Amino acid sequence: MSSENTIIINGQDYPFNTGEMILNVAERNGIFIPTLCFLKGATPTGACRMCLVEVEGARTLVASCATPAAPGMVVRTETARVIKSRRLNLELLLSSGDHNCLVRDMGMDSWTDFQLRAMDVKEHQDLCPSYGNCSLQDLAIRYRVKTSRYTPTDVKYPVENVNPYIVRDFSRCILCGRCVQACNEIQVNNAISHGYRGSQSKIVAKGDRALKDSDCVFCGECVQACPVGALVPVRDFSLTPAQAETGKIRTTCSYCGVGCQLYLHVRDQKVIRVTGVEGVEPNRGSLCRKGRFEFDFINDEGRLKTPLIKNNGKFEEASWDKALCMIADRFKKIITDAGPDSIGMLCSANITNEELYAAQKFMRAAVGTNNIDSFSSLCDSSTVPALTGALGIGAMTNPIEDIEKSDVILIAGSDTTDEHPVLSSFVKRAVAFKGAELIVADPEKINMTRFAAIHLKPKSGTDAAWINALIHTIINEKLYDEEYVSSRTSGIEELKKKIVKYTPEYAESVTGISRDQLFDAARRFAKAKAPSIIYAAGITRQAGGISCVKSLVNLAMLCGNPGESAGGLNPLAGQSNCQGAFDMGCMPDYFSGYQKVADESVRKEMEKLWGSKSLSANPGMRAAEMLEKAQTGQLKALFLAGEILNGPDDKTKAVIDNSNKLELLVVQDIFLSENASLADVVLPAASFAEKDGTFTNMERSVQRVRKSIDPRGDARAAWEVFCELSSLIGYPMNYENAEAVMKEIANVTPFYRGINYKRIENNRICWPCPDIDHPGTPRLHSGKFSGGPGVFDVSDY
Amino acid sequence: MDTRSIDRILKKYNHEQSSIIGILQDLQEKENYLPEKSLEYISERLSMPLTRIYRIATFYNAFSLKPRGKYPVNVCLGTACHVRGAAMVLERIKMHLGIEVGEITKDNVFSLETVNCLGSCALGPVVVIGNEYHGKMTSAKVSSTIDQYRKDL
Repeated sequence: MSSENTIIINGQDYPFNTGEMILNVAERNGIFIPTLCFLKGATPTGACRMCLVEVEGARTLVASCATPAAPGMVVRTETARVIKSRRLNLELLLSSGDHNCLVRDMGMDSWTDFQLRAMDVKEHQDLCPSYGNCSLQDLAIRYRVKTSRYTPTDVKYPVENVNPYIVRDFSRCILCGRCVQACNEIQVNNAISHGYRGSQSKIVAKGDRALKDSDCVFCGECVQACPVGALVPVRDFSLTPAQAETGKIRTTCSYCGVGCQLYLHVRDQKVIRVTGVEGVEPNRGSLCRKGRFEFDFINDEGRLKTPLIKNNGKFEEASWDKALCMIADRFKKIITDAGPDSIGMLCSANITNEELYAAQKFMRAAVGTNNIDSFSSLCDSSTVPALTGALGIGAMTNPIEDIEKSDVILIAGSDTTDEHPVLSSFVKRAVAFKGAELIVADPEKINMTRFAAIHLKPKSGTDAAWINALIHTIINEKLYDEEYVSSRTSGIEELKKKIVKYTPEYAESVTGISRDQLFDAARRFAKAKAPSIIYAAGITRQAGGISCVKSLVNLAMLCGNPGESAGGLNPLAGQSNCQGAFDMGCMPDYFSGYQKVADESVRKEMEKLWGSKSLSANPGMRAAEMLEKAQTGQLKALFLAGEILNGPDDKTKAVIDNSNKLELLVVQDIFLSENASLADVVLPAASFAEKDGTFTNMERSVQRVRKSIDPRGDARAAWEVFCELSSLIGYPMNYENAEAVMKEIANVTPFYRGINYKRIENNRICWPCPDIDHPGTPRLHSGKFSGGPGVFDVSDY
Repeated sequence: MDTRSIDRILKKYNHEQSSIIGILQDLQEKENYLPEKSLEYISERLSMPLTRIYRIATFYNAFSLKPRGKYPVNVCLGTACHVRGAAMVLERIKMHLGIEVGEITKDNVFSLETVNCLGSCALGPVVVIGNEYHGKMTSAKVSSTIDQYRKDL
């Protein structure tokens, strides 16, 4: 060990990297240094002075969070001088507001006066909601701080209790600034800041108004960052006694395709709080408003608890046996009368891989049809064929964290801050702190345009035209990566010929975007070293969705980024398990792992693996087709499975209406949704908090969903239902638990082969993961494309 | 809100975020205070988060987020002024204008604030009205001094 990069902490030598702060070196080596204001991922401010340490030769104590380690530095973290300073600091902090928890030793009279004053506030009548979860309290106990020396100061600002989700209690704020950093440097929402000065200092939102009247989006990042009881979820005040400790179980968020890792805090079989899991990808502790605060649906009393069978237009409660036997009998009858292809199933993309896999296996092996699709095909189906055709794999090419490393980011058809808030913070950080340039293409002014260097405003439905115009400029001005294009792609000549007509002048007339803007955007994009393309439903859910995606693929390949840099081509999945629904074969034309149903050898192999009768080669129906045929009566029975409540259609009412001519509609859901109210049989589903399984997020990482509470009433996970139904129909399907289903998935799906629950216990694994020793593949197409040379496939606007 | 005059100020400072203090000073000069709508406009034009502007606007005493009168009255309560009876002067001004500290008269002519030291202790007690310093102020002189400004309207 050379002394050049070694420091001595408490008499021990420790190596450090140039530029590393003393605090980081200490933390990495398990040496405790107390902090209050230090926030990982943000610039150290050295504001709280808790992390002061003694450095030999330094005149004063130094803040270890903001002092870089230097060669040969001699640091002591717990000397008498250091401790004296910390205690003084804590005494002052404790006297700066209503810190009236147990750590006080005032004289009886002043203690009583102080307590009475503090408890005069409605929010202070119970124990502080942060009791037991407060860094100030912890440190006061650790350093045995006396509080008799200073009289607590008067409180200057009243409690702000008018917001949804968050209560701001200024009397307990220690002005450490962590919330300000969380808001400005992590989430980059820029909603709060320090205001006023000296003893009047306060954390203020726009115009010093309540959060609800400011730019705050209630992501709750500040609540998680607050080390004391100044920022508290509203809900915590209804818990009595506050904070009696609860269990917390790590799981994956069920809202969008980012797949944030979160803890469900549970008490008495109820989820009472949600916090982000810090230090792990993809979200590093961040969550959004929905993920953090909108979990009431789990505990809702209106949840379905038993199966319901409709009798003369009214639902009657039934046992599982009765309901399942009825479904099986009707299914068998329809199979005999009208053939298996008159039965269809649609799965929501909010259910686990295990459930989705069991669903398609049930339809294919037990019922004997390929009529299986998921709700994600209604929104994201353009991505899979377009990306598979060109690159070999239909998914995001890069992990989410790569977005922050990009130097130019193009966002098309995605209101990112609204639809994927946590992912949008990666973009915002790249722009605000890493010098990246953002190009937003959206007909509307969206939140993201505030960060954009260029805002392209195409008329809606004209996306393919402006993308092709960018390609035109890049080819015309020879800005593309020739080496990459010649070594890794095919069809460039074809592209050159076809693109000729997409001059910026032409695009201007079609899209309404000025030609100068198009030139500018094309040049900026082409000169980037790691350009990232992000697109979502705005692109995929339009009539020409596939051609738009193909054009984006062309653009990405021309500038030589898929597989080579941190940029990549990144479709954002709308629901928590869109990717999983595709991967698991909830598509009419593919088995799990995109193995073609049309391929006879694949079918033979699956028959062997599943021990089933011969599998149908008939192409199945897509979701839209099934819904159409349900109206005409060509489809006799339809099964809607999963948490459809949170599906893409929760705004657009039921996917199916009363005029359908189905003989049998079965809906499994967590609520009696509009779909369910039309059903003949309704089955209660377990929510994501009530079952084990996995979700595959948009970056292809397989992450655990863990059971944290018992299912409401008789609710069951969908895979259990399919097993029983399958056995009743005559194809026995049995799994001991969700893990056993995953074992089978790994067995029959080549790129899931190396994935099992043990390996993903703490860390995600991105597929392809072909064997048990494979680390997974966060970045696709490194060196060469997975499906042979990348193909330029021009689609006309 | 007069966006053109704000644009002129922004142009003078080259639309630089780093010149925000100068920009706010010019705005304050023009409007006598910092109107919220104007700050929102500046925030948008400079792509600067509004909270960051508020942070600066609330930090300095020179800025006011509330309308000030045409002639803001600043009474110095620093040590030197205080021992020479500034408190009496302040009481007298309050009575004469009929407003408390931090308020503005109904006709928007005067607003009342206090400062902790103006650095001209030799003149104490000091009262600043508009841009003019009035030294050796006494409670007896308050009425005539203030009324002078009313006359000039």
